[in-house]
Amino acid sequence: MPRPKHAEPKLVNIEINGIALQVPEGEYLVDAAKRVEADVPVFCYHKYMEAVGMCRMCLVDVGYKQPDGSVRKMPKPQASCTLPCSEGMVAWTETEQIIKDRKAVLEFLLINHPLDCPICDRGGECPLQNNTQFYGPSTSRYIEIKRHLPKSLPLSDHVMLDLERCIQCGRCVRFTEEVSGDAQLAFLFRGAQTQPHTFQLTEFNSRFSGNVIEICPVGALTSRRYRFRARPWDIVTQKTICTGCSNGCNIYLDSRGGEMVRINARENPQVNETWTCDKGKFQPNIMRAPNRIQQPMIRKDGALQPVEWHEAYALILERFQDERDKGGVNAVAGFAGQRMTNEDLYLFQKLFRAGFGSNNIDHRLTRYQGDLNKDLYTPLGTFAPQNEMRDLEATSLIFIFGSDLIDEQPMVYLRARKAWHRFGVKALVAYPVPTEAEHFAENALRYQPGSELALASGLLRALLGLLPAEKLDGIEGLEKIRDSVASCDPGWVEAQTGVAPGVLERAARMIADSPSMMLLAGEKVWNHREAQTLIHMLTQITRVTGNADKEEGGLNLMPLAANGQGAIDMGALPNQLPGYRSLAEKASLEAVWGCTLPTEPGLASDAMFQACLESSVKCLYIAGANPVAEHYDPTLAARAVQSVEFLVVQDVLMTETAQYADVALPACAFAEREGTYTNFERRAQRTWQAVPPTGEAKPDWRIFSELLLRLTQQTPAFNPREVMKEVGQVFPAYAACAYDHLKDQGVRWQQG
Amino acid sequence: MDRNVELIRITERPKPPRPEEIPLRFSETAVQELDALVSHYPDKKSALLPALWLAQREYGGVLTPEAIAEVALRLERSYAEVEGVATFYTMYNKQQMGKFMLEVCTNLSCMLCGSYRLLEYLEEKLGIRLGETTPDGLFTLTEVECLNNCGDAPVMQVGDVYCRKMSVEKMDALIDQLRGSDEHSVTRLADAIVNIQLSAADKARIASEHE
Repeated sequence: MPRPKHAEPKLVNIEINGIALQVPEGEYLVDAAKRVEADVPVFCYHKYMEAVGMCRMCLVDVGYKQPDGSVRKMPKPQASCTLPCSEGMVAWTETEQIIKDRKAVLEFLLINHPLDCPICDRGGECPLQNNTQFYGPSTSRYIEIKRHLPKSLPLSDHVMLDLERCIQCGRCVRFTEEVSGDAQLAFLFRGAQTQPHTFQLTEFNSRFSGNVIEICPVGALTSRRYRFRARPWDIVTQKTICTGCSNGCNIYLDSRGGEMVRINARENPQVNETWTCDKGKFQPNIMRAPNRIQQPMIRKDGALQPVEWHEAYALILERFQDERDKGGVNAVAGFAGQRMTNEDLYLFQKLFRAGFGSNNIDHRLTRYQGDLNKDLYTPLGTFAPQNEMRDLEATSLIFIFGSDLIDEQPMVYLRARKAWHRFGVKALVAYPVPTEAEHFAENALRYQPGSELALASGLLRALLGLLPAEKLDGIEGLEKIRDSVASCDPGWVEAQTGVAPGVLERAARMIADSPSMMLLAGEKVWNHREAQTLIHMLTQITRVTGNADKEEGGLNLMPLAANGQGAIDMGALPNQLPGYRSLAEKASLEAVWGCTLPTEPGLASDAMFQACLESSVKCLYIAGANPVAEHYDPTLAARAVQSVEFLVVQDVLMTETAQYADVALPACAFAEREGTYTNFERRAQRTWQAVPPTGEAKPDWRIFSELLLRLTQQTPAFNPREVMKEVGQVFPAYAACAYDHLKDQGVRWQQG
Repeated sequence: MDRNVELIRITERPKPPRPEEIPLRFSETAVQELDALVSHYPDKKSALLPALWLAQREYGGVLTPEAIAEVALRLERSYAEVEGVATFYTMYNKQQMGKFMLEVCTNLSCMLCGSYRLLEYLEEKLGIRLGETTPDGLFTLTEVECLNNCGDAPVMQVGDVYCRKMSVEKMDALIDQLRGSDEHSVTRLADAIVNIQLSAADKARIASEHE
């Protein structure tokens, strides 16, 4: 059964260490004990995995209140990690017996543990070490020779296994079975020989292998990257978020002497629970990349030469203003990158709109460059992505359309898998080739590449035939929808997509029978040849199935890069102002900015690059993007940046695009500055500065701010907090996302 | 220890086999038997143990990595999970055993009735130590826990046959008899275990399909 989103848990009365409290029924005692700050040590228990009670570390004394008021104690101590709380439960966590039991369990666990803490990466942050310190015996009575096993066995490029240190808690094995689902680790042999291993010592190539390093309660699984690089007490831990994709995983970034040494997951039950993907956890250290832009550079005699910031600013402003005065506002254009924060994107579009008076600004690298307001939000009646991560567990069907989820949105994949595994949520996958998500999907539609539109039309037609008439009654323009897909019968769909009529019928029936459906659309939709029509079709599917206004269902067009959602929100678009306002609604913005704004819509990115080729755009400002490598049509982007007269590239690295720059500006990498990102579920989250900037790099917002100051002579924003305040003024939904409200876990903005 | 040193020296792990790389060696009958066994359970995972017995029979008495991979593939489980199960149970052979496995009980009753003396006699007669296989690949000598036949101690098991009230003379006769036999005790035991689990209807259906 899907987990209802707003279910009120039933509360039960229990007593822990003499303190009476109310907890939700079924909550494990080990969690309930945390509420009264009774510390119950654990090894095998993990909040986000099913409890198994393997390590016996969490033993407590338990009894139940009898009708006559007395307490009947269980004869033996119980593992609190597998004991659900029920009415009248009484527990003691610090009795003499329990203290003795803990000592015994630890003495047992340490029989074969090598105690090589001084050379162990875990030393200092090791649950075994801590628990032994707090609860363990001071010495051991075992004098026998310890078991010897391989001590540094690389399982993959990321994970190193030390079999001597393993205490067989099974966390890693259970993680691969339950959470990541690839089951690549298993316990081999039995008894004292039990050891976690991959099949025949083959590579541990799970996409989420890094998590086992973090959940290992000893130093048995260590990171090869972090190995021997630092000790826990000489690293500085900074909370921030990962900018690898639009999931916005909460992470801790650990640095030593200003050098990033590792990334660990930070718990956020709304987003990544406590997991990371390998792409994020083992991302290259961008801060120390050899090809970083170290200082501002200007092309002189065919080569980029280092200059002072003010020289670069002067040249940029001179050329941009000059060309704008000569060729009109369409002679300048700006391309914003989706790796930039909301503050950066906001100031970037302000620089172009208020500073240069041009709407030529875009962020899109995908083939779809239409007006989302018109194509999606208006027909749907709401801002998509409609759902948040948690809804995956509450919905009854997850329809993954045109997205290789594990690659594009790893955390959504994990959560969708969890929804299937724990709550029996069904999944339906439509993708041209087999994907990992097919393993848990009930039905898979494998279509010919590029035939997404035919498939969606066929599905819509089948749905209109299957859905009961009373459900379809209230749908506006139903006849028009019916007519538009009238010719898409199953035979035609099969000819177009290769999906057999039976398979299509089954899929349509699945959708029609589900009370709610979350549609997750990905890269194949964004980059479809007729993306606009396809998005329209998906919108209609969502509407006719009644999911457009459902809380646990809806359409989710997931942005592909870190701040794709933020770029839309901040109005880094040629035809849309911040806060989804059309260009006609510029009055409120003019009031805040104190200037008049252009009304003529600007060029979308394709048109912008085309204009560069045709030399009607003379000056192009690319900030935080690498279209030459990432644009759906790299040739167009490459030709555009080569042929444009004056190119400014502001980025962290000397990218393929930056090679062609006339002015290259160094920007701070994500961990060198602070800001906010909006993830695919519209959750604005903060990042913090973890390491000092490299060279003369500045945060993107500061560069824009300094340019704006020189242009408008207005008091600039001094920090991202102020920028966010201004965003709140022009886009009221973001007022809730001011820095004071964001805290550690972020805020999901709601349309007013 | 040498193996450990060797393991550490390797820094690159081979990739796990892709499904299409696994040579499938189950015979047609075995595939049908597996299908029948799977139908006894709510999900495929539950048929893991009988499937491993089938594999042990099909692969000549030993669960090679290929055998484990094939079982995993046929039951849609991960390789590691099946390997974990196979290595947990001692009756699944991970190494090639002799044609005849001589499993001598050394639990209390049999020990009191002289099973260790029998073991020593066998070691001397076959020229091997406990746990070893004769060079001609005929006999493997192992020690097992209680065979649940204490009344007839000392007991030993060869394949699916119990040899009761063993003595040196009976042992000589048994060894001579086995040398002349062309049975394969390990696969026969596996076959017997598979057959116990199949219902009469399953067996009849598989037999009829084969004619």
